[in-house]
Amino acid sequence: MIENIDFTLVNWSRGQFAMIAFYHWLFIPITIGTTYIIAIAQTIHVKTGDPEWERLARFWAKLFGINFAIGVGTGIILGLEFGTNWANYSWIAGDIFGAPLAAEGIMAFFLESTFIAVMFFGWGKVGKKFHLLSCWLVAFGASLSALWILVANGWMNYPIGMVFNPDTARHEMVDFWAILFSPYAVNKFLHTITSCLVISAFFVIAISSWYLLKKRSILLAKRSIVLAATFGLLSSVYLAMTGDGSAYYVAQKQPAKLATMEGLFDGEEGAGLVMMGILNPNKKLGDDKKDFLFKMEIPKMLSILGYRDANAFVPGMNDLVYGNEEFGIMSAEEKMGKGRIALGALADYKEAHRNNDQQAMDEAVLLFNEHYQYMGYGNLHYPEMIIPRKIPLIFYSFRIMVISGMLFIGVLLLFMYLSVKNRLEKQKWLLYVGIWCFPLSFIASMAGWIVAEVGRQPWTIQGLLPTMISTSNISANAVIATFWLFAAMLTVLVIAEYRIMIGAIRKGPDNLSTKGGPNV
Amino acid sequence: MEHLTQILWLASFPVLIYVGYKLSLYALKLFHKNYEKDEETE
Repeated sequence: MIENIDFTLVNWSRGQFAMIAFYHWLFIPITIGTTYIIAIAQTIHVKTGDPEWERLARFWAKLFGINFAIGVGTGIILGLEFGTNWANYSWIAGDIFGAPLAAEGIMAFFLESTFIAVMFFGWGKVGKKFHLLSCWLVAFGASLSALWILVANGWMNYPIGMVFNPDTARHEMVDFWAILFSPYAVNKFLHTITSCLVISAFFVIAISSWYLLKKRSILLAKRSIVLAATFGLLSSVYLAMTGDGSAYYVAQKQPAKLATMEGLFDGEEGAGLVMMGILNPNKKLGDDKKDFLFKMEIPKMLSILGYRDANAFVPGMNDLVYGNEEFGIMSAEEKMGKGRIALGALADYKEAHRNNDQQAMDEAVLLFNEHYQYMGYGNLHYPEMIIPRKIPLIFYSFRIMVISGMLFIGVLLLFMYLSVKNRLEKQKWLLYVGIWCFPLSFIASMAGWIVAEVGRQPWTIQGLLPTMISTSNISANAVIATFWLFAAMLTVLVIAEYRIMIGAIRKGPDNLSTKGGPNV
Repeated sequence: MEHLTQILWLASFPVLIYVGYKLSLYALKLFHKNYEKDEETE
């Protein structure tokens, strides 16, 4: 057990990573999703020869390009954070975590970056088919890039395909395919990538709606909306499906996260899903106070979502902390004891190794392997630490994400129907809704990340490595100073980027035409 | 074979893109029909 933890360092390191990830995520969904709109528009242009489709593709490509530059910049800073602020995590898990990050750089980012040049500068300079291929390769490169990052993230939530080497005190990869095809990682990829497609659909819809309200570039705006609404609607339905998958895997692998998402203090058989509710702010773990001041729930739905069984027992936070013999749930105290045995066995192994005592080494390894899965619990200070501290933040963020997601399906359905019927201009209220859904889609998506990342605390690697011992051995002041440095730098960049973006939107697609086509 | 289910789930993403593309073409076809009809009426 580590006694001297600098929580100022831990909290500022977490804050710094979250802040940079927040800025990164302002650009990434648009970068990923808009590429498909561009590729489809360019495909229609190549098939029909209609120059207006190229004009449409070029307009969205310009906005994509503005996003891409800052998305890459913030992504590089995030990658460096693992070395600067999270060195202990990188030491312990670098063998596994490094592989998908390297694959992302070599296989995906290079693919995307190489063909982005052809996509941007190749219009009219390279063959149309090669240019079209480049547009699709950029789109798939961006998605492939996301896949590798989310495989790494998925592994942190559900660590598999590795062994712990007591000689080096590091987790080492033994099964790459198990990590790549982890059900948690695959579902996380599909859920995240479809959220990017929905955000991009609203990005295109919002700008096109503004053009329709201003009566500018009308045909281009209408075509863009038909394309984005159709693609967005399909993606939003798939997003809901993969959301169901997320709930299932979280229930299986991270029950504390699920209990926090639901504000479920005491486990229930046939547990209901809280649709809306207000948590009792005075409720604490282990007390008898009411969980909610008010709640509306769908009966048995949480049991169905989490365990595919209407009467399944869903453990609450109290069950996970204090144990529940009836349902065979081990208390956190007991897990902490087993974790300390694992850490003690590791120390014994090192001692035996120094003394060249093979028998003692074998015994220590045996004992360690028996308690390995609880290793991280050995570092915790008290049982309540296994529950994320920010219960209301996680509970309300989850509802913001789900309710917004449902709303988006309805809005996209309306946009698709009315745009196909060519009746959008008569529904000005919907055009305003389309504009506001763009920032709302970002809020929903950020809320999803809060549920995922704050909800998995106290762990960096689920059950094996607590966040508080994952940081670098550096001064908290250095992290605080660089936090403000990055915050200032990224804020300036974001302001500059949005000014460029708004300028490009105001200028509109009309000025992009190089073919002298009709001004639609 | 061990990872077949997850491979199929991953493969559903390009399928989603392809279906999205085809559905967009169909929606655009309907839109153009209505657009031209409205232009003629006006």
